[in-house]
Amino acid sequence: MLGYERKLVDALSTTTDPQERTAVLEWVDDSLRAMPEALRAAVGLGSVVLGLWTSATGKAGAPLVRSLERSWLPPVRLHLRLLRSLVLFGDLELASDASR
Amino acid sequence: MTGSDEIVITGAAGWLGRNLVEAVAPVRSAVRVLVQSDADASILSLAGRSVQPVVGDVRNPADLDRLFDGVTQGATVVHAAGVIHPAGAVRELFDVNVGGTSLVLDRARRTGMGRLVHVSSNSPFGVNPSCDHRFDEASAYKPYLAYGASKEEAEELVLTAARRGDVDAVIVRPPWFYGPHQPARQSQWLRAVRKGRFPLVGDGGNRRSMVFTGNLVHGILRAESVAAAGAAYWIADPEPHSMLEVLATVREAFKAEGFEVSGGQPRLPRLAGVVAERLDRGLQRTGRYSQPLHVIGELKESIVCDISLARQEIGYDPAVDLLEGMRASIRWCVERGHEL
Amino acid sequence: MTAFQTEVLVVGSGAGGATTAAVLAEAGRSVMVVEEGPAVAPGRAEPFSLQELAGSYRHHGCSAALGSPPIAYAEGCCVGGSTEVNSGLWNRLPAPLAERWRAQLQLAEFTPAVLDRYADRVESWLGVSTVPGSLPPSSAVLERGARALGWRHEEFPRAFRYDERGRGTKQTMSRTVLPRARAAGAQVVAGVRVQRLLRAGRRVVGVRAVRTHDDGSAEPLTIEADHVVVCGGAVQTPALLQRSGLRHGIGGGLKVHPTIKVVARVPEVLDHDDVPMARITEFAPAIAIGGSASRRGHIGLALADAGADVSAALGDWEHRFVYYACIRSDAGGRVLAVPGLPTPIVTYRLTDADLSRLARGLVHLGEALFAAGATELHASATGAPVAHSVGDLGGWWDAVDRKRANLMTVHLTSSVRMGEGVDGGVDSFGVVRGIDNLRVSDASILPEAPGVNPQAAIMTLAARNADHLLAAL
Repeated sequence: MLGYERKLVDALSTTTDPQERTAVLEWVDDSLRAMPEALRAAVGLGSVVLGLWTSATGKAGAPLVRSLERSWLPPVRLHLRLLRSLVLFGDLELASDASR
Repeated sequence: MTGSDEIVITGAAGWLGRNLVEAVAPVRSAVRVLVQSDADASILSLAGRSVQPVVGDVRNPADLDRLFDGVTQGATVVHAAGVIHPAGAVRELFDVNVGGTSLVLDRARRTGMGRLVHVSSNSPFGVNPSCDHRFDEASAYKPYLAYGASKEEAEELVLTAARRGDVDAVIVRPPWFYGPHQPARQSQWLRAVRKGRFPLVGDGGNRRSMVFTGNLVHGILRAESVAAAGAAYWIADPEPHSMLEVLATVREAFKAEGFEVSGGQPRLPRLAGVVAERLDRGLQRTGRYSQPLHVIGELKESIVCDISLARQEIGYDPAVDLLEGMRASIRWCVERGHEL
Repeated sequence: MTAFQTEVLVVGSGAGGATTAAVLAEAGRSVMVVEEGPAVAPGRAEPFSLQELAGSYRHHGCSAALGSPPIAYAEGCCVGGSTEVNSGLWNRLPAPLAERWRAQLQLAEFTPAVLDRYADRVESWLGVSTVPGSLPPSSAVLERGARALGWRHEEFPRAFRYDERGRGTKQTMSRTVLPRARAAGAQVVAGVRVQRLLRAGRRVVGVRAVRTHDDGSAEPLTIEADHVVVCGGAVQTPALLQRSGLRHGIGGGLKVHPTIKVVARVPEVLDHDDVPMARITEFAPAIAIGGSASRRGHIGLALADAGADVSAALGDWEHRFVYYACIRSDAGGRVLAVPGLPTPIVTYRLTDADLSRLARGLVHLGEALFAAGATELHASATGAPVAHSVGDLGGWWDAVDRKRANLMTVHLTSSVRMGEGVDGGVDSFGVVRGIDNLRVSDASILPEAPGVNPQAAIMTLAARNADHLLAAL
């Protein structure tokens, strides 16, 4: 999992419980690993590019997510949507597990 | 079965719609019409006190609920709403022609409407494979591009509804129409023909069936009152004409109405039409639509239909021929101060 | 290199592979089934849960056909294949569709009598039944809406058996057909990925594979076989054939059931552990309307796909459920194996007519949900207006476009179509053109996406094809 991806997962995850956050991170990591290679490569490329851009602009957290949402470039929005889907499903499903 | 006293018309402010509203408003107790704007609503109200406009979009279920609200059970529906030349995107053809039809059919069933006449087109059948071929009610679907595909899908929805006994529906298939209430593009065409600027593509020997709006209205009313559920009928003028004859007849009509005709008869090689059609096909595949390209691509084709079945089975008897119909169109334009 | 030998090698243990193995084994043949995925104890993970995605699916359930828009899909990858993770909904191949295929593709032995005979057989192995007692609330919503509008609707039976207390167990391959095959002598080996078919002239002599052991080590294998039946599903099967140098009629013509979802909020509390068995069939075969897996995570995802404020809407998630409209599409797609990559590239093209049909399905679905008493609808198109009444549905037509529609499919078929014409990759019985002893017997061979859940059709055809193979042995 790339550094930028960790950063984005951190920004996207809404759980406060540290154990749950770790579980979500692992879930996203596993999912990225399991992804079809071509798709993983595309996501990875996007992550590298976006990683460089965010280092340059210094964005992080919620402001980062907002600027990604508003990007006029479809691949950027798609990249966010993919990672967001993984995090969201993880947050919701792992949290409800923990509360059972 | 005779025509009902109340009638619901979609596409009422369109070319066919206005002719139909004018014909039925004086003789029905309620003419409930779907229009897209308040301006259209005002114009149609002028046709008579029986006209009850509902402003809405044929794709919007709530607007259709309002359209049918309070209409007496057993009323007739004429579904004439449709897009022939979409403003920019091909998608609109399917949303309106298929989606709108699906919603109207469903409302007609749910509100207990009587006979539904669906206005279709020649486009689901393509072009005549040979110069003496005529489409008839046994012809197979071979849709011409996206418009044809959308009208074919709409016909299938209507025929399924009739077959399942959901709606007492019939289909009329008019070819290229002309007549009063024509849109700007038709006036532009007439003007171009008068000035000798509209080209023939190829030798002009390809033939077309056309239908004067008055004849079409008559055909719809016959289908309303006489046709059997699930039937489809070709409705056109008494005789087809070659493109050469059509243009010559238009010029003759202008002369008879006191206009000057000028210019010669420009021609484009048939190849130009073939190229235009290919480009049209390619463009439509990308979801976009160019009306001029589509028109030029289609000009070379023969689209002729046989109205014998309509004559025999529903007493369709078109009274107006091409010359008379074009003269009526020109007079209508003159009356309204349209530039010809 | 470890080597095995068998009479019939079946690649894949899903609906097609398990059925093929059981028919052949029960007829006394020597059968080995190899399955790329692991053996997963049924019932270990909750249906549709994250654990199930991680353990029983390929790619953790995350893959997509490229196109405009892309279409997300998932494939099962475990012993029993997608039958371990699907809804279990059971629909025999509709007779008018089967007849059209028979006539247009000159399919041999494709009459209703033949197809029913095989459907009866596989159904007797599984146990197909409707829900005893009343439908759960999530299904009742669809039924109620359909009734209010006078729309045709059905409860679809499922491959489920119910105990005396009315608790149902899905009759997956690993619970039913694979044990039957094993009892008749078939071997089922998990963790084996077939990399390539080994060919000699007009015959396949075996396969090259790799077996992954529990400790993670990889062991190359060769398996020699007199006959090979490939049952990897509509994506993996053509990829394997292409990797083995077989290309004609292989991979093109992929069909899916493009699906668009709606999250509905209703006044009553709903159930969230199962997929509804009620379906609205008013617009069939072009459009099917039903319900989808709706655990909290799925509802969250569908809300995100609608561009909604997810956490706000999830506050009352127990009143929400994910429903869908899916279509039969005009256009199709392609599976392309890429040299050096284990996973093929999948593409899919939707026509404007297809997108319009999806929008139409969405609007009709909205009508049904409001008629059932729903108070808020979120459609899976980014930026689609939230609907609170029927009038708001008018805004959904424009929202379903190539840039904003968020589509998925659970069914993939037709990438190695059967037929006696020149196009198809296999003949009436799944025999691959140009090879005497290689067959395909899974969703790939269906000439079109059937507009209903394809498991019944896949198993019916697999049983029929297996009998045909028996006649040749």
